[in-house]
Amino acid sequence: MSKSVLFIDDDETYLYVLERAAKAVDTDSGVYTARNGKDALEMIEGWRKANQKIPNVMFVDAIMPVMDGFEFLETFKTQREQYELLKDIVPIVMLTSSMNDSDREKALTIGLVEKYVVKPAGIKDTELMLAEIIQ
Amino acid sequence: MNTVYQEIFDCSPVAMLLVDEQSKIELANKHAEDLFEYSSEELIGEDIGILVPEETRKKHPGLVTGYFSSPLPRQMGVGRNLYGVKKDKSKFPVEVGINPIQADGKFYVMSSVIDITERMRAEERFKLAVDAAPNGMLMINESGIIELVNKVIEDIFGYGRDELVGEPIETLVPDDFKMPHPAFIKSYVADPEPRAMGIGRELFGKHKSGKLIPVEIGLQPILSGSDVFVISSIVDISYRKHAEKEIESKTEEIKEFSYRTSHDLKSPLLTIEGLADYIVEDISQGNTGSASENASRVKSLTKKLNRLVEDILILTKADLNAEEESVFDFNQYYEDVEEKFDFLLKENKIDISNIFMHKKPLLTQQTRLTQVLDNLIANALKYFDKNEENPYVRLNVFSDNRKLYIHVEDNGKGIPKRNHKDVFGMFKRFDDSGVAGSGLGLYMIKKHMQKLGGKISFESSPKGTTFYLEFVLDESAIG
Repeated sequence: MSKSVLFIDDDETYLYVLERAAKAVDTDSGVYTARNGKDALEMIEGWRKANQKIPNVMFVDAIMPVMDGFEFLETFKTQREQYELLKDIVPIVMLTSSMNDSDREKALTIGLVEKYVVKPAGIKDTELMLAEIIQ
Repeated sequence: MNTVYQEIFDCSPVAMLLVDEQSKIELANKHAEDLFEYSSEELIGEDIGILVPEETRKKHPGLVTGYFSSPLPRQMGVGRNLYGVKKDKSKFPVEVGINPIQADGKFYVMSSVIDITERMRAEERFKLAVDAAPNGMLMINESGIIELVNKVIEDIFGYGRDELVGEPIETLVPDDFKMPHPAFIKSYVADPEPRAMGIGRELFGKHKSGKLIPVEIGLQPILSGSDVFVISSIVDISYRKHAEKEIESKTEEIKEFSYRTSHDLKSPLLTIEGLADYIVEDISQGNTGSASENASRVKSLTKKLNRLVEDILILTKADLNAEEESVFDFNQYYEDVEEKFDFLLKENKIDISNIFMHKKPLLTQQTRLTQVLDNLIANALKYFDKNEENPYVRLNVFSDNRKLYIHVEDNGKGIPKRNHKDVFGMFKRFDDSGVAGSGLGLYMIKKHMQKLGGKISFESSPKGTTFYLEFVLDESAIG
């Protein structure tokens, strides 16, 4: 069964890297991208309204303009409680360059985040990381 | 008189004079002769008044008679400064002890006189030393009454020393601590040791105006016979407290800065590494198109990084350097701006105009103000409204008697209301339309304005944004 993945990150070049790595790991996977928390929520709402399949995994960056990762998680948490359909979306992985312990704690405390991953350098590690999570 | 007693009298190390009820000197010992520089023949039979300062001479006989009405062994003139007069009419400070004597049925006064010139000099030197001390020095007795203060204490607390000497130390203690303070003194006096006061607490003194002053206090007991005095050394640490706060806020700033910088620098670097890997993969797969695309991506990311590093450098310089002030030439500046931003203006068909109505010159640091205005204008151009038919940026300058005002106005997209409070924050970007920016621009502008001594504020709506700069005009720059 094909999986689908949503990457949320403000750096569109990095999204290219993630997309390419994801495709390399699982050629059939559907890859979706959003540039910030707000756009991501809009995409999710779009799927929900159309009763379409929602990604199996979401990768969220911590620091983004307009709506950062933490804000997105908080808002999404509230939405999940409202809509049954969204309850299937897990796991969420916070993928960020921040090695800050307090950020890690903050993410894990919100409760939706299954893993806090510091962005790996280079495609090998990126692909390994994605493989581990997507499969 | 008995010869033994005569010997004792004569050889006493203290000057002694025997005076009768009529104030006549009956006997004078050797020391008295030396002290007053008379021979005993010259003294005996004379009125004791000749040894007393002229001012007191008239009333002295009255004092003698008065003494005899209730003759008690005691110190003479307690609380007053007493002086004796030598044969050469010179005055010197003395201490006089008087004792009633009855001999051969007659009443006499035996007075012992001590020259305290040296002692007074020593006391004077002590007072001068205390006064010259770089710290506040204050002495209280065991009952907590102030006996001595120095100039620094006068300065710290705003009192003259006459207002403090004789008053309880609680005058200088903040109201919250007035009640327990006497008990504190009592327990200190019972077991006095040199130490700092209130370790681990913040201590305050109360200025005459009521204002509280942060202080550091050291206590030193002085034991004089059975009396205990306490000398406290008091330092006003307001300046130090202020500096501590500055350091704390700078440290916070640095922490935030490091956190944000590392993210903003690391992200593109990570991406570049990924892209480099893909270029290698692309080449090995013969996919030159993709390789070429990725190489372009690497290039634009490195440019972005470069700009960020530059901005960071400028930011640190913004904090450090101070320039010479000179009159700001707005007309020249405007010409430069039209040139500098020519491409953006033409590309996006944005109109720039100015109104310079100020009547007074502005004396300021050229580079700083130029950076501030450049930044504001660049932002206005960057965030212009694509849907607006006639996008514009205006630079207007006015003045009144006291201030010079600069307005940078645009009819662009505006700053979302919920972001208004973060506008001058570090690394804050609000727009996601792909406009490159380090998020440091307005933060730097605020720093620059602080250094220039000016104020900055803004108004923004979806119809446009205006930044307001205000400078107080230097009196000397006028006319």
